[in-house]
Amino acid sequence: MSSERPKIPVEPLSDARWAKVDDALFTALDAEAGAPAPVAVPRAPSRHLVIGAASVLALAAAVLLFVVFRGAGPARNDVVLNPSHIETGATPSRLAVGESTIEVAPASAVVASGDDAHGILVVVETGQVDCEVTPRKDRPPFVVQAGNVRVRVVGTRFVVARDGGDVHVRVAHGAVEVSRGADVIMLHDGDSWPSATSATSATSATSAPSATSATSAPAVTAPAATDDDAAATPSVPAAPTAPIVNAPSTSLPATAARDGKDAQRLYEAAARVETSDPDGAMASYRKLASGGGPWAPPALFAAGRLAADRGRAAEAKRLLDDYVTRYPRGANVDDARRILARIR
Amino acid sequence: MGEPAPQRWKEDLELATRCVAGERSAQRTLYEREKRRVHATLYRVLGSNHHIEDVIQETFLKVFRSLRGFRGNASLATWIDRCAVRAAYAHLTSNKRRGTSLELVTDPPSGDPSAERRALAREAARHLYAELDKIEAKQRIAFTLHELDGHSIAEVSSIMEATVVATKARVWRARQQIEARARKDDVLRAWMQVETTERGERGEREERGEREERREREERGERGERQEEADREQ
Repeated sequence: MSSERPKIPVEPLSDARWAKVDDALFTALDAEAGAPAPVAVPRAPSRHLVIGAASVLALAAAVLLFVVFRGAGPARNDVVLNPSHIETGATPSRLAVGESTIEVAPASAVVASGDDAHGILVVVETGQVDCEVTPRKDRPPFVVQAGNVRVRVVGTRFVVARDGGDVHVRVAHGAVEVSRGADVIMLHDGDSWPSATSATSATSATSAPSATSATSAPAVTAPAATDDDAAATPSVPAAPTAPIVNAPSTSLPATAARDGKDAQRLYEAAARVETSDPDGAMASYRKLASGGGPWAPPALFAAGRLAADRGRAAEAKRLLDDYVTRYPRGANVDDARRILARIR
Repeated sequence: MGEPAPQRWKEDLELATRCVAGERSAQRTLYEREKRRVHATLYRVLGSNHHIEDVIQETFLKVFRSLRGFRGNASLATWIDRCAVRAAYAHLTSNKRRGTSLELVTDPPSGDPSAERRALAREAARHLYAELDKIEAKQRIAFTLHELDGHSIAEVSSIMEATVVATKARVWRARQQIEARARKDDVLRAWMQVETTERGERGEREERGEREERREREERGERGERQEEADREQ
């Protein structure tokens, strides 16, 4: 048969009929999510059922013996498949995800997927994970999501704990960036989130300029510094890697110093107005980038990223090339290379 | 279809993971992304929107229930198509189904240059699905996915989780039946005209002549065998 033949016309469904499908589907999913475990209906067992039940019982006994004799020994090592749902009982479980490891605490449930070649996502449904992430170098990032909190990391060790809607992040070493909604917080060695004093700000012991607070869209976060970067320049912030949307529009400070708090304020203000005033944001980033100081690298990267987002390939290439050349160990160097590759 | 591109693979896997974790926003994203494509595929398999809401709903329920087993070996679209095919097969083979309700597209507006073509397609669709209703469900699905929804044989075999050989056989058998019907049905034949024109009337005649000759030979052979048997009995 030929492709030139008149196509069978597909009659579209009306909005009302689609609404019916939508309602029925998600009502059914809600019911399934909230439904108790199905109860077996008693019936006369057949010969096959008896054999099957015996096999299941034998298997269950084997599993039980394994669990009992494993006792309180060291956590077992599993290799993550894609995606894997892991629920722990009384003992923790250690997972190998690429070259990184995740220790899932007792009474926790997580879903892990991906590998080093494609990036790794760990969704914490409940409980706690202790992640030891090898520096990502040129590899895609490692992301942990717990509810609406997203932790993106390039190389570090940190703990994410979730209890219902409450999420806590603690960084053992290295640096991560935590985002929830429009709030983006940078955490360094020993920091935890949320802090005792504020539910939305980092408890960074060294305040300036280690806390990057650029606003970002939900689920869009910046990569953090690698272990190497953190050791070399522990206070260098990372820039957001994606366009900043839905941020409240605020005017940029007319005069802002290049260093310290003023530089941070200028950077944050630029980040907030990326969508409403991209030219203004770009001017601020350029100003910061040209002046040196700790906010110059993220500002230069942000300028390049913003130019790329606006379709200004030549400008983006020049800025990002400049960033990679000037800061070859910078926090955003991997993202810069990725954007450059995309542009090319 | 088939092996997903790396970026798409990553997106698919992330979306699937979030769906498995019970994230309703992710489930809605996946549903909104795929629902119209699924509808078009199911429509071409079933031939109408009659009860299609139930089949779409069943498809996505199957998707969300089975995503835990998604490994990213094929694209998420192929995974969803597999669920759609299973739902369509269950619908086609269910006792509840009583033929195809041919409530096809509305009439094209007059003056439209493609009106005649679309009217032909509409009428041909009635005749085609009336014939497809007589075909075994797996053959019908393979045929519609390949001939009407535009999937390659390899894609159809992946969606139907069958071998390429089995898929080719299903499509071929369904096509034979449709072509046999088209020889007696002017509307269906007109719809399939492009192919027959490409083959050429001569080729068509030769092919038909060969088939008739073969049939006659077989009949003669059978008659001869019967005659021989009768002679032996005498």
